[in-house]
Amino acid sequence: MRGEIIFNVVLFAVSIFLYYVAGTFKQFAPYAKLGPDFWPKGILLGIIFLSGILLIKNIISLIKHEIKKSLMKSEQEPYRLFLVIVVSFAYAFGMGIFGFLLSTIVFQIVLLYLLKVKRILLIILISLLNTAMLYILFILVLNMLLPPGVGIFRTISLLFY
Amino acid sequence: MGFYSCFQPGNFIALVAGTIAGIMAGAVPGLDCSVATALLITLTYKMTPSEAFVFLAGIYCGGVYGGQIPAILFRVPGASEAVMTTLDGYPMAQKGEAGKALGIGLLCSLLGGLFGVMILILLAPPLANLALEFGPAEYFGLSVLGLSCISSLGAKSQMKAIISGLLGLLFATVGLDQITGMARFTFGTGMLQGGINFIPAVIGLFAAAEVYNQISLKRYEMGGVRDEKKSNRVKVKLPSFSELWPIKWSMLRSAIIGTWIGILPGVGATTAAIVGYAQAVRFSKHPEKFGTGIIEGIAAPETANNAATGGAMVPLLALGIPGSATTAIMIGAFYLHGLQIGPMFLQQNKPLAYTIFAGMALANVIFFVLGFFAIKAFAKVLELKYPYLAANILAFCAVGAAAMGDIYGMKMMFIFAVLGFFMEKYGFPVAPMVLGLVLGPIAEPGLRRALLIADYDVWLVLTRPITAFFLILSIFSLLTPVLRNLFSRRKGHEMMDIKSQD
Repeated sequence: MRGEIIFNVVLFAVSIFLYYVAGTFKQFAPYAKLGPDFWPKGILLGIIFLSGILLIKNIISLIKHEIKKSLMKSEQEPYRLFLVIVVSFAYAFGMGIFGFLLSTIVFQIVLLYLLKVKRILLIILISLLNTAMLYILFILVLNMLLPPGVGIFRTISLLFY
Repeated sequence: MGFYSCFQPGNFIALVAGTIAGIMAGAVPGLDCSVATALLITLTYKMTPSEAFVFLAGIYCGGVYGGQIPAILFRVPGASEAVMTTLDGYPMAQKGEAGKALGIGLLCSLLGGLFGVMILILLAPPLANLALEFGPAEYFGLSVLGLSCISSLGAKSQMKAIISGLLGLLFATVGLDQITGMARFTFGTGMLQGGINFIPAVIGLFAAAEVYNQISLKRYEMGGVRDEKKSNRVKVKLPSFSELWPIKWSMLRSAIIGTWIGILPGVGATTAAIVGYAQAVRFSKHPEKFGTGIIEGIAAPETANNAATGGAMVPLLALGIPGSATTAIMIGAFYLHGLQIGPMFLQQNKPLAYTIFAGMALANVIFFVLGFFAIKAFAKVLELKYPYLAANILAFCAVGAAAMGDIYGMKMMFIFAVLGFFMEKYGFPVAPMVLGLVLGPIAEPGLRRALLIADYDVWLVLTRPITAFFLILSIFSLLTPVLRNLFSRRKGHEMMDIKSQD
């Protein structure tokens, strides 16, 4: 419940901020009556109104009934997920530098380690096989241009492209 | 004449090759038939026009079908057209009925596809003429009707479903405004000027978010998912007549909706699947069962999205207007072969037009036959332990998104994955957001253009006959779940009163 309240507060606050941002959109004289802010503002008002109602409902139910429940242990384990998300974004940023091949192998090794696969040899083998499969499908079969990286990594990647 | 032409060796090989390529592209997350069409269009350069167009027809039909395979097995919609199939297909697979789910999807895809082609052949000119009469106001009305289905998609909370739909509409506004060309919510970054890329967003919301969800669970163990899937010996099980008969009207309705939406320029198989599913929920006597893994929940979107392929070819062949993203790319093939696409095309190229019609019909039959093998190959992945699957799915999602929009697409995919994870965690369904993303770019310019034409007279826009018809239907669509809830609550209270009196 507490997490849901935080989610709704963030939604409510971000919507108000974006409503303000929509007010700063450049206007174009011939369409002044229905400018670029017309549609987003309408949507944001709807989100602000509904998330506000949800927030009030959340707080009321937290006060009335849910205090005990909110103190109960969660069925979710956030730490592993947090690490996986961090690794995912590191992969997204790293691909531009290290290229598709190297970053995908490293990403899968780290991910499999985080997902409690203990045999190192198996982790390396699976990562190589998965990356090889992606390489064959996207680069060889579909001829798609995946990021080759920069510098020395680019030179190495281009040997395979 | 068309079928005779399709069975010529060159045409037949091209048709089978196109269908295989389409199924593969449809089944791989991050690819779909429009990407495959764009990629492979250069291959048609050395083909004859009839070989080229049956090849593209194969990609189109196979691609729309192929999306359902990972959608059912892994809750990963291979293509956006299969977004709605995940809602009931995946729960069925989790219950150990993956084979049955795949069989229903396969058969309904065939029937929907053949229905669409039949309409294409029989009613192409009059239907295309009717669709041409639509102006911006009518498009706005149609999008509102599609958006009104959001309330039916909110399994637990309609308010959360509506918020999710509004978020989808909001994300659709990112980028350059279609009317004025002004940048909106780009925060000075060039990356956002092109808007939110739909495919990475959908991959993130549906596929990667589910991997995050599984990883976050305390009960997650290395073999956890494998144990559930172990009994899931995937063998395509076609539904029996007695299973199909009760959903005959739902299938027919979806086929009609799919064909009709396919005919409308710019509205493709994804919208057809969403509207087909939502209408099946609305007309159902047991709407609460949707999303829990019922055959109607697979039959409706799969019939509709495949029917839309035939429909989408109508404005393309009759008027030169693309009915979907894939048919828009196909226009390039017409130029490549020196063909003038437009109202005169059917008159001047009758043999080629008949070959395309027959090629569309045969592509549906070919994917039906090939479907067995493709499904079996993909089902093998189910035997893997979850960490291997998770690593593979996440890397697949990331690389698929990167292939769609470079690193930007990949980052966008992970952002939507995190958003989708938190939304699902706190009871906000993600399907309405996808509906908003698809319909936003149609609804907004439709309304604004209509108001500009009507000199800002709102009443004039809303009372146009077809627009008014769509809007009235939308109100019914929005109110039906609310009234149904009120009615069932009242019934519950009456029952309690009777009990207390006793």
